[in-house]
Amino acid sequence: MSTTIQHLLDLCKKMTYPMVKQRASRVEHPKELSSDVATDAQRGTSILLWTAMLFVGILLGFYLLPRLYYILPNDMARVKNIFEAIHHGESPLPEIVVLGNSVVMNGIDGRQMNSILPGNPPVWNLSGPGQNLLESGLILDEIDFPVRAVVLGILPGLLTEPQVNIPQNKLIAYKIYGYQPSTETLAAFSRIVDKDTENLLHQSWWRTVIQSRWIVRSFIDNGLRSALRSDLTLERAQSDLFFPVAYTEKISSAAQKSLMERLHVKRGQMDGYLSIENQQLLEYYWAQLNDQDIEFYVLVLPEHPNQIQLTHADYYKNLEQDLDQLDQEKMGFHVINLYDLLQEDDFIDHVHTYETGAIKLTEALVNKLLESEAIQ
Amino acid sequence: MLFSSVTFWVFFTILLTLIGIFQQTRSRKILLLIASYIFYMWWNPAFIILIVFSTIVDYFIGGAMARAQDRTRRKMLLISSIVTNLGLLALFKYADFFQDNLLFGLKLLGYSPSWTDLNIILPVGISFYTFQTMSYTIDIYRKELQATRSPLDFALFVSFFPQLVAGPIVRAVDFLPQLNSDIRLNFTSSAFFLILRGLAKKVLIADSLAPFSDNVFTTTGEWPSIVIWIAAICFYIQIYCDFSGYSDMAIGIAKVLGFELPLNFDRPYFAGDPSTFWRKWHISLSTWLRDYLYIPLGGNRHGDFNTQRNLMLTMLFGGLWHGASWNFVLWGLIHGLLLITHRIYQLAMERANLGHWRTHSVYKIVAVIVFQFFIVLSWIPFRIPDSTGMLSALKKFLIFDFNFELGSIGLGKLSFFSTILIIFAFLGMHLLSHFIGGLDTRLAKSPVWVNCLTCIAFGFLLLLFWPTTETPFIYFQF
Repeated sequence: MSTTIQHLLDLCKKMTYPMVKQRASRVEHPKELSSDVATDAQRGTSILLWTAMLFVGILLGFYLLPRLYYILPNDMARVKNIFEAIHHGESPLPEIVVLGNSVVMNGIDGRQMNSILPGNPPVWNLSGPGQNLLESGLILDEIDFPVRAVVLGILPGLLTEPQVNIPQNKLIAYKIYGYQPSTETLAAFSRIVDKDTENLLHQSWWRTVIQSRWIVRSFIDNGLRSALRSDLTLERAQSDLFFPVAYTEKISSAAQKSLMERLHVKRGQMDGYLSIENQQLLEYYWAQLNDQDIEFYVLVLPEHPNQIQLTHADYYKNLEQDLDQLDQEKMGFHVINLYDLLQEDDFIDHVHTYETGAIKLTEALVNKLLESEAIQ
Repeated sequence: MLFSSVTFWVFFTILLTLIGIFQQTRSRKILLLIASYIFYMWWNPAFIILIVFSTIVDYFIGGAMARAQDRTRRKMLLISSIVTNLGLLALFKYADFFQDNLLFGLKLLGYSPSWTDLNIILPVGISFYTFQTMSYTIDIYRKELQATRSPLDFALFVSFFPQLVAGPIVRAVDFLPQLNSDIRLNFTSSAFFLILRGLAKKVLIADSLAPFSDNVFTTTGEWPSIVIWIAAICFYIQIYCDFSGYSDMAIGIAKVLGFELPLNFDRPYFAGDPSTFWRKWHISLSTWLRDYLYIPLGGNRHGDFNTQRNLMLTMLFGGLWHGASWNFVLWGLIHGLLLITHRIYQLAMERANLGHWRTHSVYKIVAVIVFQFFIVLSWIPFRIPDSTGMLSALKKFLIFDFNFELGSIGLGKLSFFSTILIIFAFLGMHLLSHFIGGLDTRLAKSPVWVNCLTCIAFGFLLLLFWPTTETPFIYFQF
């Protein structure tokens, strides 16, 4: 040990001098290596020092990573804003909460709902990009104040998908922002999600932090994308709690055509059944909300006419039947089916609504809420 | 066990500790052999039998060849070694390929035989160690190398773990003499920084670019030309950083263990013509092919036509060495054509007394840009085995569609902007290395405080930019 310390001291003395001669030849005989200026012990000590410094850098990164989530703009900043609003938000707290993916972000205006609904209840649109049924459950888990109703918007195609999962990066961000799954949620999710997602839900803090490193690339991508694309209103999409519109400008007809060709799929008659996983999730959410006397609305979101055209008519009928069955069986469970509400002009691209579409969708939703008599 | 995995570094630390405990050279050789076998068996224990088999066969053939005086007997022994080694390679690497093509041929002729797919698993690194053992027997046959008497030394030469699965392909003539001296651990700063350089290339560049090129090249039909170009440049950088990163780490790790491995890459992307490129890219393979295939075929000794034929055969074989698939043959064909065209062009230049132009700096820069365009192009068939996808990508690469509408095609999901940034970072650093030399050698000469800060920064960057999904080294599949 004392020799090592001595060598470290020697190293400090030589701080400004080169340690080892550069080796010129490419293939050398090992015996020649003894001609290096430093002795074996000195070289060993310097390697130990470099390795230690490497670990210092890694530890520094480990310390900074969770903090970067609060400093750097990133794809998941909306989750941070939603959690802050839920836990430290100023009054008035919402009476109605709307959840769902970017179609809900672009399509449902909380302020418009607030102004139309009797008694003007505050409405928060807590949807987020790519927020699926499972992810909506994480936000529901965090809501710790009384609400009257929860509206969960989802596209027909996602309701029929068999496997539901949350992308790893998203789940990590939720955990970094403080999400702790309740025991009930863990038990319910473990029956539905795949092994990777289940492991992620259970994994330790330090593993989560190590895996949270994607945030840096997300920051770079996000920053440059915001700088280069004026049509993306990222600030609003991340922080607005009422109408977090992400897309504001209609895309060109060529891009629209290409997107439709790529992403609109043919659906047969037999594809249109509510998947077991989604049914289990909906039932679990309903049970949780029903315990607290909260009305639960499943909003089937409007699809682009081109997608409807590619879909067998029975697809929607089958899906409607499955959802109606839940509606009839469960008190406080309501289905609002608006899959064919909008025209082609009401869309900004292949899936998201334009301003006109958003007004129509919000109005239709309000009318359905009023029809249901649960919200008066 | 990947060099970029925590498992490997735990394994390597244990090995260094054990080598530190056991001082005798023989004990250290045994330790290295055991470690090499464990390293290989980590992937699939069963296939160690192949390495042991290859070792035993070539050890005895080498010994018998050294003792044999009769030229015919020596030739027979050499043939048996080549047949055994290439036989193993043919069985494990090319049998499925032959089967598929045979069935396709029979189908064209109207026959549809019932056949059970062979589905043979490709043992990792088989192409590398097979070439190493073949070089041993060929060198003994040529009397350029003495057969080793020590089975331990020979077994260690065949299975030495730093270069076992992805090269560099080490020749017995370079490696065996190193076993005659004491094995001494060699903790030099240059080895340390070489390993770090390799790790940075692999993790911070290659693995960070991989998702973009993987995504684009699996759905080539969906993207405009500009995206195909970016993906091709991504793969151009990815394959270089992946493979040369592995080589850097292999050379650095071997250096720590007291061994010197040959240089495998020498900034090939600054090459302005195909022959320079092949002197800088995968040097251990290109020199192997030159010494054991191109020159025995006649090299450039029998006129223009034969030289060109030999060049093409060598490159086709080199392509096939990478994998049993037509896309690799096509890649070899492109490189063969480049070499032939360059040779013809060179001769024409000399005949026209324009040879001196080649020394002009403008000519050199233009030559690098033009030639590297073809290298980027050649990586497309290398990367995309599916013929439809490959042709679509090649078409879009060559016939530019001038569609720059990238706003709503889903590039945001592919980390497009950070990918572009990494491309520029690589190009900048690569260009810098051309003028100031490798960063590792500069760091090895730097003051301690500079190295400390570099290591802290590197550790920090590693944690922040290490991709969350593990990408195996591309050359493991060969």
